[in-house]
Amino acid sequence: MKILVVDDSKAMRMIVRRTLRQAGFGDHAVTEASNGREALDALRQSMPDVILSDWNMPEMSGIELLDSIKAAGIAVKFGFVTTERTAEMRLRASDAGATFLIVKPFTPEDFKDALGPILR
Amino acid sequence: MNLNEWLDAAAASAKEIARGPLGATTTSWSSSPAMVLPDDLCGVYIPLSSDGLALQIGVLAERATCAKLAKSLLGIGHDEPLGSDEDVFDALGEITNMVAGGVKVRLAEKTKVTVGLPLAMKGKLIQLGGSLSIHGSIRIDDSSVWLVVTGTVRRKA
Repeated sequence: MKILVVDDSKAMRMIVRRTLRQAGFGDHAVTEASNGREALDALRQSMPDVILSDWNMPEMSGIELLDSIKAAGIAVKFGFVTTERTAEMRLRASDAGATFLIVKPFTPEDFKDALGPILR
Repeated sequence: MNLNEWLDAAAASAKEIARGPLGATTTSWSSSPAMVLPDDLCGVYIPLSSDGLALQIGVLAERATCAKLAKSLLGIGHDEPLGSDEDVFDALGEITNMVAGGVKVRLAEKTKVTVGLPLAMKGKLIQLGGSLSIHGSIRIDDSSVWLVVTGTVRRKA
C-alpha cells in the first residue's frame, strides 16, 4: 500500500518513516509532502491509500487538506499525526472525516493501533 | 491567567517530552525572577493565542545543547554529525511544538488556546516595552534548557 506523510518538519517526516518501520509497516511505499498544498499536488500524481498528516502547517493546514479532499470526493483514509490532542480538536478531526488521530509524541504501538486495521 | 501558569504548564510539558521522546533519565525545574537568561542562546518560539492574550513559548539553549536535543529526538548518536543549523532548528521546532501541545491540553479547561507556527532564533533576546516575559530552566540530564513565556495583552478593536 502507499502512504503519504505530510508534515512541514523534515525531522518529523523522518521520525514518522522510522516509526512506520518499527511498527512493522516498513514494506509499504512512503512518499512525503511538506504541507497540505503539496499533498494535494501529490494526490494528482499518485493516489495513496493512507495519508498521515500534521495539523498545523504553513500554506495549507491538515484540516484544510482534509476538507479539500472530502470536497473533491476523493476516497482515501486520512489520519492526523499531531500535537493537537484536546477533546475539541479530536472531535473536529472526527467530524471532518479523519479515521484516526495519533498524538505526538507517539510510539510504534500507537501506529500499530491506528494503522493496523488499515494496512493489514 | 497570569504568565506563571503558562510557564508552569510549559515546564510540566517539557519534562514529559524530555522523559519521553528525548529519552532523558532525570529532569528538574527551577524558576525565579533572579535567574538571568544567558546572551548566547538559540532556540524556537511558538506563538499561542488565547482569550485576550498573545503569547509565545520559547525553548532555548546553547547551540551545542540544541544539537544534542535534536539528535536525541532523531535517534542519532551524540558523536554523529547532524547536518545544518536548519536540521537542528527543524527538530527543535518539533520539540517546541510538542511542548506547546502539552501546554494547550493542560490549560484546556481554563482557556481556549490556538497554536501557531514555529520561529527559530539565534542570539540575544531584547525585551521591548509593553511585553511581559518570564523564564525558567529545566535540567535535562546534564543539559540546561531555558523555557521562556512572553506575552502581551491584546487590545480589543
